[in-house]
Formats: sequence, C-alpha cells, structure tokens
Amino acid sequence: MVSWPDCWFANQLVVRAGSLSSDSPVSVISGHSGVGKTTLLRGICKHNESLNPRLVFQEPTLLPWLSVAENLRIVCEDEMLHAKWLDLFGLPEVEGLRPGQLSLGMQRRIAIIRGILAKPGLLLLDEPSASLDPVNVERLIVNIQAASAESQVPIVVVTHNPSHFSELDPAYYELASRPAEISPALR
Amino acid sequence: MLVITWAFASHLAQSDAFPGPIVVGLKILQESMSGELWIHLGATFGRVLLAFGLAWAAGIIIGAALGRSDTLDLWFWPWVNTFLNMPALVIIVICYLGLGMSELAAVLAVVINKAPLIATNVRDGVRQFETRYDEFASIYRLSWTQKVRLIWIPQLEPFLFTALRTGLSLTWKIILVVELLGRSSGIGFQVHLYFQLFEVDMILAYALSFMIAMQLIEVAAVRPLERRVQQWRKDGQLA
Repeated sequence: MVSWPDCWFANQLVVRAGSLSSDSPVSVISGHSGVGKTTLLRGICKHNESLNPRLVFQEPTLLPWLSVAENLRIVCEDEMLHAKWLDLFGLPEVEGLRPGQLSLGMQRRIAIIRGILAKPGLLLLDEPSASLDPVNVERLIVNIQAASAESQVPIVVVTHNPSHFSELDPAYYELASRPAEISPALR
Repeated sequence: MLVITWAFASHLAQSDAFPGPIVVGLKILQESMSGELWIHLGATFGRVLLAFGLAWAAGIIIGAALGRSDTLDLWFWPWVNTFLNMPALVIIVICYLGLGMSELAAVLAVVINKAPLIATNVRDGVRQFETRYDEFASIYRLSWTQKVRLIWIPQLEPFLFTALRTGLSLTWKIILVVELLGRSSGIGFQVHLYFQLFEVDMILAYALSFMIAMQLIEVAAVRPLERRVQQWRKDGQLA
C-alpha cells in the first residue's frame, strides 16, 4: 500500500495525508491543474523511500547534453537491457541521438524506460500524456501497458485527463478540494 | 585587411614610432632565429598558464560555493566583489612588496587579480542551474561525483568558456605588467627593455608574436573544444 503524510508546498498544506489501497498494477489519480498532483507525487516519493520509488517528470528531464544511451547508463549499465526496453517501446536506433533531436513524446517514453531501468519498487508518472497528440498518447498507453506487464512494477499516474488511461484498466482516484484530499473515483 | 590598413597608415606616418608590418615581421623573424623570442615567449606563456590555471581552479571553487550557499554568499560575496574592483596594479605592487620580486609573487598577483572574475562568472552560472535536474539527481540517487560530472559541469560550460576567454586575455595583459615591473624574462620584460631603448619595432614584434600565439590557442584549442562540448545546444534547431 502506498501512503503519504500531509504534503506542504511553500508553507501551505496542499494535499492531506492519504493512501492508495488498490491492488491494481496501475492507479490513475486525476485532478484539475494546480490541485497538487505533482506535490502529491513528491510526497509519495519522499514518504516511501523503502519502495525505491522513481518519478518520471512531466518535463522528461533527460539530460540534453547526453545521448539516449548515456542517459540510460546513468541508472543502468546493462546495454542489453537498454536495447530490450527501447525495442519493447518501439524506439530502435535512438541510442546515439540526444534528447533535443527527439520529439516530446519520444523523450517521455525514454524517460519512462529510464525510470524502469532504475529498478524501482514503484513508478510514478507525472502527467505523461500532457501536450501529446492522440497518436502519441496511444503509443504511450501501449508502452505503459508493456512496462507494467514486463516489469511488474506498480505504476501510479497523475493526470488531468484520466480518460486517456482507460485501456490500462486502472484503479481510479480523484484529488479534489483545497487542501486536496484523495478519494476513489468510479469510471 | 588589418595588415594592409596598418601598412598604409605606417607609410603615411613616415615615423620610427610607427613601423609598418614588414619591419615588425622582419624583427619577429630575427628574434625567433636568435632564439630570444622563444625564451621570452615561453616564460610569459608558462606564467599565463600557471596563473590562469590556479585562478581558474580557485575561481571555480569559490564561485560554486557562493552560488550554492546563500550563507556563504552573504558573508564572502562582498570580499570577492572588493577584489574584483581592486586595481590590478595595486595588487601587483602589494605582492611584490610582501613577497619580494619573486616568481611566486608574480603568479600570486595574477591569481588574486583574476580569480574573482572567474568566481563571479561561475557563481552566476551556478545560480542559473535548473532545479529539475537537481530533483532528478536526488530522486534517482545520483552520487556526488555523478552530479558534478553529469549535471553541474555541463550546465556551467557556457560560463566556464566565457571565464576562459575573458580570463585568458586579461591574464596575459596583467602578466605583461607583472613582468614589466619585476621580472627579468618574458614579453613584458622585453617591452620594458625596448621602451627604454625607444625601439618601437621591437616592442611591437614581441607584443605581436604573443598576440599571434594567443590567437592560435583560441583557434586550435578553445574554439574546437567549445564547439564539441556545446553541440547539444543546437539540437533544438534540428529536431
């Protein structure tokens, strides 16, 4: 079970303490912009260190001065594993390219691979479908599905657009009010 | 174009105080054949490299510390700023008076002069670090050496190159003053010697040979290195 204490930002209580009780491999937390989704993910990260959580940021945060291979090598030296995941995500022959030479959608998917290669006990995705066109959203969902099945790592997604993730058959939660509180949501 | 303008202006001036490029070029050739030029060029060059290397190292350490810590910045920035604005000549004279007319005093004077400028550049660079990379490093538990090598240095590169360029050019100008005031070798010493003999062609020959050497360093080392390490900044235009 993933839980968190009260989450504060700039001396303000943003998200009240709570937990995700579902056994589903993928949980989707929805909420409008500014409700505290990213603050919640940081709180989860901080409070669940024993799970070795890895956060995949909304901005992909790949290091732009390194190639894709070098970015992945920061967390995992095994190049066979890099190739396996890049192949699984439909991203062959990008190892030598730098992030600036890739589209935002590709950068996001590589950031997810980097998250998985870091061998997390929990993978947190911050608005992974934001600013992507429908084709890229579709690719992303297929990739998250593959990542979940192959790695067996529980995945928590925060988004303001939960309908994008319906194919993952996730457990839905909603983050609402101020300070925000989490509650199960029906879809 | 510059050489043609110089030749033309010199021809119009018709004065020993303003020799043309051919006269100066012949003097450079003469001094290089006798070996004198290489001795003094080498002496100045050694001092520039040593002083600039030490100033760069000290400036990076001080600048990084002030950029990362508000407390250190509060206490030590006024000191850095004071030395930044202190006239080079005052520092050179104080070093010579305190340590004698030694090589140590000469190099130290340049380091004290230049380190604050490099520290200021680096401090400004560190303050512009993107916090998201620090957050990534923290969440993905990067080691301290990984943070320095993979995250901090690449973000500092533009500031380090600015410090390298401005620092190198200012360093060699100060070295010449240091040599003029208290050394018995180097381009500054030769300029001083030929100033006393009023041989402007020799002054220009020594000054010009060093300027050419510095230009060669810029073209052969600094610019290719800069191009290589900053190639990724052009990626956005390619994507």
